[in-house]
Amino acid sequence: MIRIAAVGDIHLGTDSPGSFAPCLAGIGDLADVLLIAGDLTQHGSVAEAEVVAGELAGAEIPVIAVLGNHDHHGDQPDQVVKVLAQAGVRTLEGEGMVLRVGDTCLGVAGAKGFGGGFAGASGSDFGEPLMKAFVRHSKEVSAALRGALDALECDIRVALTHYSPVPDTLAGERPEIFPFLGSYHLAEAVDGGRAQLALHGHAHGGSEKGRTAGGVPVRNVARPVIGRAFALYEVSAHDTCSS
Amino acid sequence: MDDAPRGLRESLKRVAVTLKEAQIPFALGGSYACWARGGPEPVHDVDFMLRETDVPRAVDVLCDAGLRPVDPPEDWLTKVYDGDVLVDLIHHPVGRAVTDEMLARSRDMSVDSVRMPVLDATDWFEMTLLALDERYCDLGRVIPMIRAMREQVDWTQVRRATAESPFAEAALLVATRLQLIPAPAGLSPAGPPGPPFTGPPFAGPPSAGPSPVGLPSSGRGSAGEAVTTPPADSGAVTGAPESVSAPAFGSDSALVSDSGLAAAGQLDVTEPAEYLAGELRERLAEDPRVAELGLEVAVASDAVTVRGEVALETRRTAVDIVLAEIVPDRPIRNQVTVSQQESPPTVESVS
Repeated sequence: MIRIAAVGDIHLGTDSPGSFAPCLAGIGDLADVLLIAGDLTQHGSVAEAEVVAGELAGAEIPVIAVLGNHDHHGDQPDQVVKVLAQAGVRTLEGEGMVLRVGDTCLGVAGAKGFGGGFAGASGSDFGEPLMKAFVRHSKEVSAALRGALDALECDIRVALTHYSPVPDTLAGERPEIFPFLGSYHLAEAVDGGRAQLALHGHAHGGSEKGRTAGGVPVRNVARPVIGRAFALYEVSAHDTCSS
Repeated sequence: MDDAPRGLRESLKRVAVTLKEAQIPFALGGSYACWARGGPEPVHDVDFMLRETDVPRAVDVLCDAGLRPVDPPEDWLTKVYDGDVLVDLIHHPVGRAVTDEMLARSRDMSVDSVRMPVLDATDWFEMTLLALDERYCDLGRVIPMIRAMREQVDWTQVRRATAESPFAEAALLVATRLQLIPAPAGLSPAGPPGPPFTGPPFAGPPSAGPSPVGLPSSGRGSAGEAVTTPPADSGAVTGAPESVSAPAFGSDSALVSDSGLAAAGQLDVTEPAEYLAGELRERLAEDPRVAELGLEVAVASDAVTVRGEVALETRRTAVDIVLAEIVPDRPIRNQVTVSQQESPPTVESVS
């Protein structure tokens, strides 16, 4: 059994030093890993990434993150990733990583994801170059998530995204903006990649719990949704690592 | 169906030419004036506006021309028949005398290829809206006429002249909410006649300079016709459907100040409230001091209301600062809350 702490949308800025680190005190007693579902910063600046790194550096457990749209706003996501890495935070984009916790291997596949909408109300790869680019980006990051899940050799697979794979966890947001909040292609990846849990953020006005068409539990851990510093999930493996 | 309008038009032209030749001052009124100005073609009767003192002579020359007089019980008009077509000679529309000034405001237009004076569009709407009452208040007839003539009308004057009529107020409210006509600028639509009207009725886009839309007809009597800019709506919201604010009757609910324009610099705060709400929401998302995409902004006459949640108190107060820079004249109702971060009390088992 693995204990996962998760939060998204902490939106730390240069005005935030000292605001998040205290929430993580003692987290090692509660969880084995902290997953952050994007929007660690407000504007994706290096200065903000340094604040985030400072706040997360004291975490007693491994921290794995994906970037969110805010983290891309400064057009320098690579630098943000690099600053976070210096504090030991591993940022995933179409990649996975495996952690051994006791005799259980946890695999986390991460990708920012993107919008595009959900079955019956989604954008198509058609028309103007911008529209095609929008939908293709959504398909590409979803395919990358699927690839990362498939590549994981582990007992428990968790999908970590910023955008939502399902509309369930957007309940509370206006339906008109669902296509900006997530994409069903992400859910296809979650189901096809045999994830046991999918975590995302982005939809501050949404709700915590949902499920993919394939039955995978989906949790929106955007901080305004969970109303806490982080949510805690216990996930049990069906069987354990052989290696 | 086609014959009726053709017969009406023939009679219209016959009467107009007869009055012109007799040098009796008149103006084409009623629904044919609306038709001449782009409205739907009427199918019932033909109306001419004359001074009361000229009516007996007009009846005489029309009878000489072969029309048949009728003396109706109404004391505000008389009627003549041209064959089957009824022609009204109106001297007191909606209880107000036809005056020299009103006839002077009319404009020579070509009506079915005959030039004749056509009642001023602003006068026309004053009469039409004041004629609405409990039994005749079909906005389905009025709205298409507003749609057709709106750019020819000084709506500030119409509002002022029809302020006492709830039916006129209702028609103007509907037209305003449909964004057919501008919202009242600085005047209460429902109150008694307001302070003297001095400025242009509404401001145009800021880029167009101090007199952005030519010369709005701020007074009466000029040949000019008001040129309208996009109207300002009275209440709108982005972000949350449930908080759409309806305009308050009897208040300056649709007031959109143009005095903040200079201070705002880039943003046209005279535009319809729903667009303003949308732009304010975008500004809050884009301004680095707030940078929150999920805030709801509602623009109403009395205040700009912002709801939602931010991570820090400094960003909550930044909402006030940013909005005050854009819309300095609007009170800000900041209902934004700051996210709570207490320890996690619960653990969920998901498999």
